[in-house]
Amino acid sequence: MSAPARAGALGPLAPGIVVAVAATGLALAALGALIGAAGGLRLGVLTEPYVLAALRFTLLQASLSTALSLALGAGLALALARRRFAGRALVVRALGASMVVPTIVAIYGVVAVHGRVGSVNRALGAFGVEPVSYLYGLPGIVLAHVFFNAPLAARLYLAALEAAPPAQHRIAASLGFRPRDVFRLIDAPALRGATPAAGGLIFMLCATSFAPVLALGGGPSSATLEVAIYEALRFEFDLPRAATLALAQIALALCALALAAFAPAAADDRAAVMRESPRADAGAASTRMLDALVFALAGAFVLAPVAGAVATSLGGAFAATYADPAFWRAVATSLAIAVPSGLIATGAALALARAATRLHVRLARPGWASAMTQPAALILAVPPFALATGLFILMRPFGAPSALALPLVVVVNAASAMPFALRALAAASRLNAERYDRLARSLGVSGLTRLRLVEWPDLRRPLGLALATAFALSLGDLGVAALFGTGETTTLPVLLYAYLGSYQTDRAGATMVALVALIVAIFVATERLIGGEDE
Amino acid sequence: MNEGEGLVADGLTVVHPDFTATYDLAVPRGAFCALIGPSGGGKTTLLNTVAGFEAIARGTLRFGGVDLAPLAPAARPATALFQDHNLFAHLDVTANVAIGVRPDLRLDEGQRAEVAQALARVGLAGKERRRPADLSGGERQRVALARALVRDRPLLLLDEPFAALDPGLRRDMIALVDALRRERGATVLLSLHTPTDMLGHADLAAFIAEGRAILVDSPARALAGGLDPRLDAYLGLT
Repeated sequence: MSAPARAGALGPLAPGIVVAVAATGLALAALGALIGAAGGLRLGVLTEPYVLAALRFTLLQASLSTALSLALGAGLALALARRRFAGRALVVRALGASMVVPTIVAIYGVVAVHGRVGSVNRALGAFGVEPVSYLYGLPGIVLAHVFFNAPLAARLYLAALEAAPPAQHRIAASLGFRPRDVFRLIDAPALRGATPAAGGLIFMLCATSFAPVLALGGGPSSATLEVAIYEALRFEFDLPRAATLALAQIALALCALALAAFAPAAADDRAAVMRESPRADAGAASTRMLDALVFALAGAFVLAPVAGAVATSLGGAFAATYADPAFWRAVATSLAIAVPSGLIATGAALALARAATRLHVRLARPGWASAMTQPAALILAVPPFALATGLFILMRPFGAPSALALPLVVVVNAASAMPFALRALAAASRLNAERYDRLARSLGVSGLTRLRLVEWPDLRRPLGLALATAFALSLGDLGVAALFGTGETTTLPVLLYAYLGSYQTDRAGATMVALVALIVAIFVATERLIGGEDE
Repeated sequence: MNEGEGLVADGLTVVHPDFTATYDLAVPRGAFCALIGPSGGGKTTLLNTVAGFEAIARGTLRFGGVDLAPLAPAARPATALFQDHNLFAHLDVTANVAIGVRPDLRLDEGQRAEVAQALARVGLAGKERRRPADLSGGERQRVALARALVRDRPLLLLDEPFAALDPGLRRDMIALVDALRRERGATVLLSLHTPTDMLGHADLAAFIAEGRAILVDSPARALAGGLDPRLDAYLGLT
C-alpha cells in the first residue's frame, strides 16, 4: 500500500498501543522498583524448606483443583449439550456469573456447608456421628477453587461442544452411533481441543489464588507462594524475599499461560444458548443416568455453597450492622474503588480490542494482533501484591502512604479486571470488523460515525458485560485492599473478612447480604444501561 | 470505446503469504466484464484490489486515466457488492441505502427522495422500514444495488453477490445489474460461480486462474472451449 494509505491505517492503533505500552510499563516498573528497593534478589529464599513446601503445595492444590474443575466442567458441559429443559439458558448464563461471586462470599458458603458446624456435620449429627473436621487445608482450598472454576470450565467446554457442526450429530443418528461412539468421535476431540486453554487458565487462576488459601488453608503447612508473598510484605516487610518469591510466582504463571496460548479463539457464548441440535445420544438410559449424576455433583459443589451462604446470612444482625457508620464507610470505599477501576479496565480493554481487531482484520497481521493483547496476559501473571508494592515504592516520594492506598488499589484492581473485560470484548470486536470493515470503508463511514452506527450496535452488549464484570470483580476483591489494611481501603469484603475473623457471624451475614446485593444491583444496572434491553 | 479511459491493470501484483497474483487487464468504459474461474484462482483478490482492500505490491491500476493506488476505498470511483454482509444488520432498508449518500445519515429532502426513488427502481417500495433479517436473500442484494444507485460511481464491483440465490432469481438480478449499467453508463466487473449466467449480458469474459487473467472478448466463445487448456478444464470440456 502507498504511504498515505498506510499512515491512515496505523493512526487509529494509537490508543491500543498506548494502553499496551502503559500496561507493560506499569508491570515492569513495579517489578523493577520492588527489586531495586530490595537491593536485589535473595535467591537463597527459593531453597528454604518453607518456600519449597509452599511451591510444592501450590502445584499440588492447583493441579488437583484444575483436574477436578475440568472433570466436573466437562461432565456438566456434556450434560448441558445433551439436555434441553426449562431454565437451561439461565443455567448457561449462570455459569458465566460464578466468576463475579466475591471470593469471600464463596468461602463463607463453603464454610457454611463443610465447616465444623456446617450442614454436612449437622446432617451427620442427626445420625449420632461426631462432628468431623475435614475442611481446613487442601480440601477447603480445592472445594473453593472447584466452586469458581468448574462453571468456567463448563462454559469453555460447552462452547467447544456446540461449535461442532449440527450435521455431525445428524450423521451420528443416521449411522446408529451408540453414546460412546458419539463421545469418542465427536465430543472427545472437541473437549481435547479446548483443554489446554481452559486448563492453563484455570491452573493459573488456582496457582495465584489468594483469599481461599488464606481463609481455608488453616496454617503454614498449606501456604502457597501467593500467601508467602503476602506474609513477606504484610508481616515481615522483607522486600528481597517478596521480590524473589514474586518472580518465582510469575515464572509459574507464565508456564500455565503458555499452555493457554494454544487457546483456540473463544466461541460465541450466545450461540451456545441459542442453538438447538438434537443429539444421537440424548435418549439413551446410560447418558440419562450419567447426566443426572453430573447435575447432582454440580449441585453439591456449586449450588450447595450458595445455598449455605444464603441460609446462614438470613440470621444476620441487619439492624445493628447497617446502623454502624463503619459499614457505610466501607460501602463508600468499595464504590470509590470499583467505579474508577471498572471504567479504567473497560476503557483499556476496549482500546486493546479495537487495535487488535484492526491489526487482524484490516492489516492481516494476526501475530501482531495477539501481541497487542499480551500485556493483559502479562498483568494476569504478575502477583497483585508485587504490583501494588512496587507501585507503592515508586509513588512514595509523591504523597503520604495513607493518600496513596486508594489510588493504588484502584490501579491494581483495574489491571486485574482488564483481562476479563478484554475477553468479553475481543471476539465481538473482531466479528464486527470481519462483517463490516470492508463495507464501512468502501462507503467512507469512519471515525465517530463508524463507532456510533457500525460498532456500537454490536459492541454495546459485550461492553455492558465487560463493564459489569469489571465493577463486580473490583467490588468483590479481597486482595490488595487487605494488604494495606488501613481505614482508607476497608472495603466491604475487607470488613466482612474482619467480622468472620472475629467470629461476629451475625454481622458478617448482614454485610454479605449487602455486598451481594450491591454487586447484583450494579451488575444488572450496568448491563441494562449499556447493553440495552433484549430485542 | 477507448481502453485508456476504462479500467486498466498493468502488471498489477498482489502478494499474499501463500499466493501471488499478477493481473494484466483492460476493460473498456461502460463494458460488462464477467470474471469466471476456479475458487481460489484470484477473482476476489482482483475485485478487492480494485476496491482498495488489498495492498498493491507492484504494477499500476488506473480507471479513466486516474491512478487508483493512492486512493482510500471510499475515495475510489467504485461501489463494491460482496457475497454477504452488504447491509448493516441493525439499520433498516432506508438507512442502509442512505448511508451510501451520507455516512452520518443526515440527509436533506432531495437526498431522501433520491433514496426512495432508488428503492422503487430495484422493486423495494413499501419495504423501507424493514431490517435485513426480515428480507429474503434477493431483497437484501436489491437493497445493496439501490445503494450502488445513489452512490452513482462509474465502476461497479460485484463479488458473487447472487451466488446464494435460486437460478431464476439470480438471472433476474444480473439482468437488473445490466439494466442499471445501461442507464448509468457504468463499468461492471461481476464474478460468477456459474459461467453460463453471463450469457446475454456480459460483453467480455475474464478467465482468472492461478493469479492470472485471460481476457476473452466474447463470453460465448469463452464457453465454447479451445481457447486455453486451463479454461477448458475448468469448464469440464476436456
